[in-house]
Amino acid sequence: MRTKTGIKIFITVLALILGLLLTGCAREAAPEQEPAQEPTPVQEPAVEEPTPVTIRVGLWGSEEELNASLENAQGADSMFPGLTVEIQPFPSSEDFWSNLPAQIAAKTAPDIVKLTNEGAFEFIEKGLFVPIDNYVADAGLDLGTFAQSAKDIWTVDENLYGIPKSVMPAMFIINQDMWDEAGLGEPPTTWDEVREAARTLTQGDTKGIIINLHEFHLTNWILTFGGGWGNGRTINSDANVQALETIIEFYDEGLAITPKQAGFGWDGEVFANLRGAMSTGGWWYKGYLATAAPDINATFIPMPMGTTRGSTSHSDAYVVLKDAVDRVSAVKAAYWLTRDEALESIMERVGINPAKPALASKFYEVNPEFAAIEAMVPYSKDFGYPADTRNFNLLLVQAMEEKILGGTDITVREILDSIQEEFN
Amino acid sequence: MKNAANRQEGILKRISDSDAFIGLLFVTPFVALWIVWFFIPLIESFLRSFQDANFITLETASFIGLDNYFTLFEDRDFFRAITNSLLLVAVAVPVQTLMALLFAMALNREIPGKGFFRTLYFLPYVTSPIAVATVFMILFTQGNFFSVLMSYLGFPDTTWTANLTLALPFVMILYVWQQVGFFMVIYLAGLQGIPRELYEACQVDGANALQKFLNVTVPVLRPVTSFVVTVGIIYAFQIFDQVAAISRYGQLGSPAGRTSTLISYFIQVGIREMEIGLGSASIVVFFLLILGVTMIQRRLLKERDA
Repeated sequence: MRTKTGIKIFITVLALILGLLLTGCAREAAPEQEPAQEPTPVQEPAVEEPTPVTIRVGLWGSEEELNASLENAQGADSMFPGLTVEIQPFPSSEDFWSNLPAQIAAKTAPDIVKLTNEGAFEFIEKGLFVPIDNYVADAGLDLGTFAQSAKDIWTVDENLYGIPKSVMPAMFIINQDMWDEAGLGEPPTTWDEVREAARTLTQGDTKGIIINLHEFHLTNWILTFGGGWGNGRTINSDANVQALETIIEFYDEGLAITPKQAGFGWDGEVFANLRGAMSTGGWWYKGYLATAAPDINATFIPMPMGTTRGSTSHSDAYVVLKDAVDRVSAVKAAYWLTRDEALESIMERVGINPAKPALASKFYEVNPEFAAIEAMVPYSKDFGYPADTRNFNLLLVQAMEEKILGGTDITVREILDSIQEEFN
Repeated sequence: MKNAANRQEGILKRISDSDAFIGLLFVTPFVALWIVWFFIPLIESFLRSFQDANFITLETASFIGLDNYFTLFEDRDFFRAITNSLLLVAVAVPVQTLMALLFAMALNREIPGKGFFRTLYFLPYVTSPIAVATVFMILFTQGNFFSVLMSYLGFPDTTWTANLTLALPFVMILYVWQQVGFFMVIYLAGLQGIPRELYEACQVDGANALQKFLNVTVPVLRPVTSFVVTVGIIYAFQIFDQVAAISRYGQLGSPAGRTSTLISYFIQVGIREMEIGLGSASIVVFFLLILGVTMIQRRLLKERDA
C-alpha cells in the first residue's frame, strides 16, 4: 500500500517536472499581436511606432572581416526604423553547416546568412533559401546599384536568392620573397611555367606548389583547361580529365604538397608556414595572412592558363533562410550590410571586391595588390557543381585522395567516369 | 471527520518518511532529464529512420519503410565506417586496458613522486581532444619527432594523417594516449581494494610475482576489468573528436574515408547533408551494434567467472 502510494506520488512529481522542462524547452512565444484599435477621431493622424525587430545574421570569416561586420551591423535603425541587426559569428563554414540542422529544429537559426556561391546551388534547390524578389519590392529597395554579373550568379530560374556583397575571381598566390630569392623573374602565366618554377622552388621542406585536394581548387584547375562540371552534365569531359592529370603530374614529380601532408588544415596555413611557395586561392588570403603571417610578401596574380583563361567567380551574398520570421526585415538587414559605407570598410580591411560597379573601380586603388586580378573578371565563372553538391564533392575529393595519397592505379578517366555515372 | 483528517496525516507522514519515497525523489531529476534528453530522442530517431526526412523540409517527411536501411547496406562508405569502428574497438580497447593496468600496478607501489606521475598520466584525459590532435598531427608530420621515431620501428617517415594506411593507426594512438589515464585511475582504485593478506598467503606458498599477478590480481580485479572493457568499448565506438580534428577543412573521415567512423558517417549524412532519415537509420544500426558487442563481451566475462 505504502509502495503503491509512493509510486503514485513519484509519477505525479515526475509528470510535473517533465511538464516544467518541456515548457522551458519550448520555442519562444510569438510576440502578441496588438489588438485592432478603433480609429481615434483626431485631426492629426497618429504616428505609428515601428515594430522593433531583430534580424540575426550568421557569418564566418577572418578576424578582420568579423570585426568589420560587427561594426557595420550597428545603426541599422537609422535607415530602417526599428531594425536591429545582430551578428552571429561562426568559427568556420564547417561549424555553421554542422550547427544549422539543430538550429533549424530549435527555431534558433539565423534569419540571413552570408554565404559564398560555392555550394549554394544545392541549398537553393532544396528550398533552404527563399527567393527575395517580392520581399525586396515590399521593402522598397533599389538593387540597381549592384553589378548585374553578381546578381546573375545569385539568380536561379529567374529568381534572385541573395543580395550580393562581393564578386571576385579566384587567383594564384606566390610567395614573392621565395620567388625573388630563386631568381625567377616574371610571374608565371601558364601551368607549364608554374611547373618550371616549382622545380626551382622545391627545396628542403618546401614544395613549389600547394595543391589542396578540395573541390574549390580542383574546379579552378579544370576551368583553366576549358572544362567545367556543367552542373553534373560534363563531369568526365576530356578537358576535366586533362586538368586533373596535370595535377597528378605535379605530385608525381614531387613538386606539390597537400595541406594534409604538411600537417595543416588548408592551403593558407601551408603557405603561411612556408611549406609551399605557390597556391591557388582567393581574396581571403589577404585578411588571413595579415594576422597569421604578416611578414610574408604575397603576390596575387591571375590563375595560370592551361589551354585557356579561366577561374571560378566567388560571390558572397546575404541569403534569407526559409524559417526567417520577418523576411522583409531580413532583406532590409541584408541591404543595410551591403550599403556603400559597409562595403567600403570591408574592401579596405579585407580586400573583397564589392558587388557594386561604382565601388569596384575604387577597389583596385585601395587594394593595389589585386590589380592584376581585374583582368580575370570577364573569364571567371560559377562553380557549376551538380545539385547534389556535397555528395559530388565527397566522391571527387575521396577519389583524388585515393589516387594521390594512396597511389592507386585507377586513372583520372576512370575516376571521372564513375562519378559521372552517379550523376547521370 | 477528525478521524479522516488524522488518517490522511498519518498516511502522508508514512509516505514522506519512507525510504522508497526519499529514494524516488532523489532519482527523479535524473530520470526526468534522461527521459527528455535520451529516451524521447531515441524513440524519435527510431521513428525517423523509417522516413524520407530532410532537415530543410522536415514538415514533408514521409514514411518509406525500410528503404533507409537498404540504402545503408548498399553504401560502401557505411561499411567502411563500421569496419573502421570495429577495428578501433578491437585494437584500442585491449591496448588501453592492458596499459592502464600496468601503469596502475606501477603506481600502486611506493615510489618517489607517485603523486606527480599519477597526475601526469591522468593529464591527457582532461586535455581537449582537439588540442591534443592538433599537436599530434604536427608531431606525426614527415620529418618531425614521432614520425622519425616511428621510422626506427619500421614505419615510413611520412605524415601519418595523409597516409591511407597509417591514418587510422594514428587515430588509435591518439585515442589510447588520451584514455589510458582515466582507466588507470579506475584500476588503481581496484588495486588498492585487494586485501594484502591474499598476497601474503601467496608469498607463504612460494608464489613468484607472475603467479601472484595471475592468481590474485587478475581474478580479484575481474569486476573492474569488466567495467573498464565495457566502458572502453562504448567510448571507442564513439570516437569523433580526433577524426574531426584531422579532417579539419576537409571531408570527414579523410584521407579518402580511412578514418571514417559510425559517428562521423552520421554527422556527414545526417547533419552536413541534412538527410536525417538516413542518418537516424545509421544511428539505430550503431546502437544495436554497441548493444550486441557489449552483451557478447559481458556474457564471455560471466562465463569465465562461472
